[in-house]
Amino acid sequence: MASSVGPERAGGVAGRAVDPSADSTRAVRPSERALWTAVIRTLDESIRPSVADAATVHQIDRVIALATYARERDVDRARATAEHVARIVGADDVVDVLSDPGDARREPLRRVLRDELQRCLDEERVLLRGFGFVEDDA
Amino acid sequence: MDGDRRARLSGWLSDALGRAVEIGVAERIGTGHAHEMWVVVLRDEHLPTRGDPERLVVRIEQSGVFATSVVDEARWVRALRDAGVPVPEIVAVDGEGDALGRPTAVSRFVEGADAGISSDVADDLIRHVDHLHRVGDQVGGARLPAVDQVEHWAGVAGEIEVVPLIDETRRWLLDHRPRAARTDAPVHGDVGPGNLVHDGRRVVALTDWEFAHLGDPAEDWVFLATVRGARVMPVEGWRRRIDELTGWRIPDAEWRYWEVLNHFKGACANLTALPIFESGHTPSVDMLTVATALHHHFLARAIDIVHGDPPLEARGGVGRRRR
Repeated sequence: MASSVGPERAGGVAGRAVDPSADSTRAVRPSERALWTAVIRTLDESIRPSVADAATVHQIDRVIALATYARERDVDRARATAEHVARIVGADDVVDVLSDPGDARREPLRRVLRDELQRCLDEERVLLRGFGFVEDDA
Repeated sequence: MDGDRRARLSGWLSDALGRAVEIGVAERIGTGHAHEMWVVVLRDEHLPTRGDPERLVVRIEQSGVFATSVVDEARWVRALRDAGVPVPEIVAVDGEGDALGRPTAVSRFVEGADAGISSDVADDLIRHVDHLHRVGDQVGGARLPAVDQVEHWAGVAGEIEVVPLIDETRRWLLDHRPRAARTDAPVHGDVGPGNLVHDGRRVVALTDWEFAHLGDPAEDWVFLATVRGARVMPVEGWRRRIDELTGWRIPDAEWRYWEVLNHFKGACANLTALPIFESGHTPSVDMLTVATALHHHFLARAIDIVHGDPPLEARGGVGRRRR
């Protein structure tokens, strides 16, 4: 009787046959989001309640802010924005286009760059709060 | 501060002070600044009966944060102290980093009140900053350095990252520079609450001189009113009080120019924290926040003013200051 885990299936993962139509060859990898959520919840629910020193609690809050930033930011967006900018300016210099009032591409380009800046600021707001910075400051 | 660093700092300070001292308590203050800063208490065994323990502030450069120099800063502070500007006393400077591995300056700790900025303190601050602007460009026998802030900070940022909105703002600033802009007044460059010590009524010391240069007083006044002093009183309140106490005022269009310049400077300077964070030199949340959120915040404010500013009104000379 043939074994289901015999030598003929040695190329499989964990002894099972490989299905070339599915991504079954990769190792088990939890998502980045799940990892950062674990960091945040461990710090928030397990570590902070047991710390009495106010300065240390503040440091824990800062690390929670960092982890939240890492979890929430869109790491793929920078490439999409760069491609969008390239579609607008082609082979021309971005700053030349931005600085030329007669260039019809100027305003669309500004909007793309300003929107990207705003999205960065939205993602980074959690860092600013921990820094003790009020947005009205500037 | 680890034992090796304590020993090296103790040895250096003993040489600088001319007597044997040891570092007692050492407390690090802040991690998102131009310098790694410590407040240290000296154990001075040769003076066992002295009253309050001697406290010093140790400022160690952080591999390029804000692209500033403790040596230049110390030169400024010593010169301005001679000119009657309230500044901490510098007791030792190590420009080569022989003691701690990086350039370091040490000043005496200045005791202050742990309270907000009262109207008396705000008025005293205005008077001191006005005095600073009037001491002239020859202080302590040496001509103070003039640095074109637009090109300087654009160059600093350009070494780190190509940011089109910074380059666009640079061009706007060069095109809109007021004809009457001065280049001969000592300017603090980062003046206001957070960079001063007060006793509740008066300013005891202006601190953190790493951005100091010769330039236009407008740079300080606008920065004070729109950035560091924004929590103390509204911008119009600062403008009115500065005018009442010093006679300094400028038209709105020129005010916007200096507001753009200050935010441009902030965007560029804060970007210098990025390589420090990414290299692992100072992997603190503060450093990350400076490199990202503060950089973007200042940049957004600068370009929003640029885009909303009527260019013809601001171009060229737009009135003169009144003293």
